[in-house]
Amino acid sequence: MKLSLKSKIWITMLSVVLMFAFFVLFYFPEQQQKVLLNNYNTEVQNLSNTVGLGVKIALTEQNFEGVSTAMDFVLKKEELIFVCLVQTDDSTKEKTILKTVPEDYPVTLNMASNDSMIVKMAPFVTPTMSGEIMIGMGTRQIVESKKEIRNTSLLVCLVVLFIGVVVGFLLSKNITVPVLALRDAALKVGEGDRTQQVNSNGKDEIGELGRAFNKMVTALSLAEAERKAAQEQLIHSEKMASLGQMTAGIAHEIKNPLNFVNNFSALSVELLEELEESTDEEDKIEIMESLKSNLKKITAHGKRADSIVATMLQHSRGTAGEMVATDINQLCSEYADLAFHGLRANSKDFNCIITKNFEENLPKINAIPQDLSRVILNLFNNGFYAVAERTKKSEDSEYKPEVSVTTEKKEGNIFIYVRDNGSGIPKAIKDKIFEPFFTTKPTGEGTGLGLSLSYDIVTKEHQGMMSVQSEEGSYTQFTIQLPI
Amino acid sequence: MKKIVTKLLFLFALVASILSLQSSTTVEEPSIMVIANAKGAPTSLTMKELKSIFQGEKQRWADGTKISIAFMKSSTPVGSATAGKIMKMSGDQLNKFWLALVFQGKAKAPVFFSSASEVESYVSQNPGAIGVVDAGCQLKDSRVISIEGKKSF
Repeated sequence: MKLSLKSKIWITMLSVVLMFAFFVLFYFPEQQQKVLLNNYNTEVQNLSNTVGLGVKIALTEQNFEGVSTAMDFVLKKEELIFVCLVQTDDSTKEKTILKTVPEDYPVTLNMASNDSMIVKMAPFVTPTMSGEIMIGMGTRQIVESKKEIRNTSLLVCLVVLFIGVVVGFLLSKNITVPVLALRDAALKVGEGDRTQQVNSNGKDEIGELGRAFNKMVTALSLAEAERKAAQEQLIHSEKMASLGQMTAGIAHEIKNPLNFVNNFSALSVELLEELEESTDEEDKIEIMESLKSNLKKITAHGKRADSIVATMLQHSRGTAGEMVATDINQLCSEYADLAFHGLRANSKDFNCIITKNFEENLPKINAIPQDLSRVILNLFNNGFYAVAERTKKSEDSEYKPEVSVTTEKKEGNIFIYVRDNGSGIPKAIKDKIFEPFFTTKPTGEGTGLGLSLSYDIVTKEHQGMMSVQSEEGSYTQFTIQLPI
Repeated sequence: MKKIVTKLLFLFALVASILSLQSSTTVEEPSIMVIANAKGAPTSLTMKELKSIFQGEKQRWADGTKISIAFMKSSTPVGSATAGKIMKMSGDQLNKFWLALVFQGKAKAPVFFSSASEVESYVSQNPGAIGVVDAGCQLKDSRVISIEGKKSF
């Protein structure tokens, strides 16, 4: 059973009050009554003994003063019911009531104490006669005392109950109110609100807890701000790194046609010089044909460079975060090449087979090409890194590093598969690869944000899905599912 | 034979002496007289009145003075004679009688003394006091009350 702090405080207070009430209302009065009854029994017995002694003195010494004084004392007692002089026959031990005060009280020899009366006897033996004094005293006084004790106990109980209620109220106010406020504030902090502060004026432990909480929230807020700044810095670094790689790729892509343009231009200049010097018509015609072919090639390579720049412009056009109709096949193809050439720009030794299996007539989908291109670039980079690592470690000369990209349309979605035949991902870390800052690369080579950012781009920006399939020592395949 | 006669004579003398001793213990009760303080009691009383006083029935004199009684202890001859002649009781019976009265708070018990002079002294010092002493007692401040016209009986 779930009990609130308030309920626990009230249950504790009420238990204490009830226990106190039990003792005060039942146990203590009972004990007190027993003591009173014992004292009263002793008192009645003492009275009987005194009268008995008086009788003994009167009969042995003919001095009646003692019995007279004792009887005066006894007869003045308000609680006296009867006092009786009993004679015992010395030979038969038979008892006879000689005198009773008051005379009309119906005394019997076998009378015993009961709830309303205490009966005590005091024997006496003299040469003249033997017998006993029997005194009966009422218990009205004790009953009244008991009532008085019970009334006082009841009053004390009510006072204690009142005090208990007041203390319970104060306790619940001083403990539960700040604790509940602390709980609510903690929940809000948990939900991301770092501005929560609680009232912490108390000088007790709860006040200290409140102050500690406020301090913690302030520290948390600062730490989060610092973390955000650091994260932004890292994301910026990641973007800059991919930009650098793209720049290297683009430069390489453009450098090739430019080389052709330069070479064919230089060759054309040489051919023109030959044309000027030539006198033979046939040679002239041949040179002209070569020049024509060269210029066609220059035009072709110039167009190719233009096409590359146009595509880059197309992908970088538009405001950041704006959805535009995007050809996924074209985007994948170009960024696969860019990634490869970007990597080759830094590492001349690297080589890899790039396989492109594109489904024809793939429809254009609304996407943010700047962001989606970063995802493809990132996946290819990871693939190239994996195959490069396997090439370094592998002793198998037959191993052929390969990274493939495949697209297909299936059930209203476009699927992009980027697969490499690297070393695969160990099962132990498979669940962590999409977590921010998780990386297996050596320090300085990876931020650990690549896959995390890619995952966010696919799932949050494009409402798609991203998953990984891998077999250690065999392959790794990332699957991107984008709704059409 | 002579020894036997002597022994018989001795036995006879012993029995005679025991008998004579017995007759000497059963002496006659002494004459007693009733004395009273100058205040309260009348000069003469009837035996019935006296008995009524000594049984606690009459507790005040005609002038209103409270009667207080002084007896000699029942163990004395005069005490015993008092109980016998006036109350027609033994000493124990007198004790029981007065115990019953005192027990019920009906009367103030008599004061018992060991000697006549103490009785006389008590009577002379307490107004309304009445007592019983032997007939030959020397009186100082108390006076003799005649009972049925007799000073002693």
